[in-house]
Amino acid sequence: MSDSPFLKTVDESVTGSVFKDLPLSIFNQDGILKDVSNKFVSTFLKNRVDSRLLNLKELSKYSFPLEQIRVKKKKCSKKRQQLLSVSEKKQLGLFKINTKKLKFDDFVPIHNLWVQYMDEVIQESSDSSQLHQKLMKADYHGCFLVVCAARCSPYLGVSGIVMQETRNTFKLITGNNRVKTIPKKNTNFAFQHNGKFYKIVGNNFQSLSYERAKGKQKQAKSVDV
Amino acid sequence: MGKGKDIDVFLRMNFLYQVMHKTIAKLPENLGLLYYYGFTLQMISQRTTSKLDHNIKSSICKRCSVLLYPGLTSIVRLKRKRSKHRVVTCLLCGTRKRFLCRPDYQVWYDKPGT
Ligand SMILES: [Zn+2]
Repeated sequence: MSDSPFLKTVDESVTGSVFKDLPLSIFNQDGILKDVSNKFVSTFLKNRVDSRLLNLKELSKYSFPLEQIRVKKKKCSKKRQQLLSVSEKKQLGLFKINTKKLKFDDFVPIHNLWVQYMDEVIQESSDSSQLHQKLMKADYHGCFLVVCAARCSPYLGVSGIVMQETRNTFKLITGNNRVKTIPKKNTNFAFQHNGKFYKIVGNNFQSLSYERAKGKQKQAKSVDV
Repeated sequence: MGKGKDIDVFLRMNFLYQVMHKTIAKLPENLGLLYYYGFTLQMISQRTTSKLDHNIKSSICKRCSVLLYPGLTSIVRLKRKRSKHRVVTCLLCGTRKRFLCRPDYQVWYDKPGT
């Protein structure tokens, strides 16, 4: 029992020096201990101590009582309560949508929700003019759209569930798990609901999706191909 | 809710709120989509000057407009300093919302007779 390091230190403390380095036998057993402890201590000190005292060798000359090192709690700044600016939203990554990981199957439950929503919208309206107004104000996230007419021929026949709607485009997710952005200008879309076909003229929809909910819009003629 | 002409706006906001819950169940990592749906929901209520229900309003972050789902995008803690209250912190931007926990307290909107 007399070989253990703890007993030794106790013996030496009586003679005068209270603290001493760890005995060499412990460092030799596993060299990991030395590296880990140094890294931990340096990172801890960087956070807590002034930058001018960062040299570890210099630190060993002085003695710091712990109470002085403790950092005071920062008061909540007024900036916290303000709304985020666009550049701050960019930094948070709110505008990024990782399109490669999206799958068509994930949007099927949203489409089922949309069918129920559309049932309620169409039920109440009776006149054709009233129905027209309601369809203009309705939401199309989760709707299964087909491009039925377009000035630009490669867009013809593209079909998919609406993922996002911007001022000038619809973003559709197709059955092949690919996201396609389709401009609203000079294209006509169509969707089917309860066996009836409805047609959307893209030129009438050229506004933000939340602006569309507000008021009346002008009606334009459909596009001829 | 009394006005007849605003019904389709409320239908739309209700639909968007359900879409947000579906996306967080299926695509929890995709915060961009969640932000987009929450932002449109907030903007619709702002532009048409129709009030959100207080339960919906308290479950959307005021600052970054992401749905506050406990565990995934927010932390809920109970505190008993000052009066007892519930603190919800947004994990994205770090804003906190505080709700008092008083027994027998009802929001004005839920009270019978209003
Ligand atoms: Zn937030």
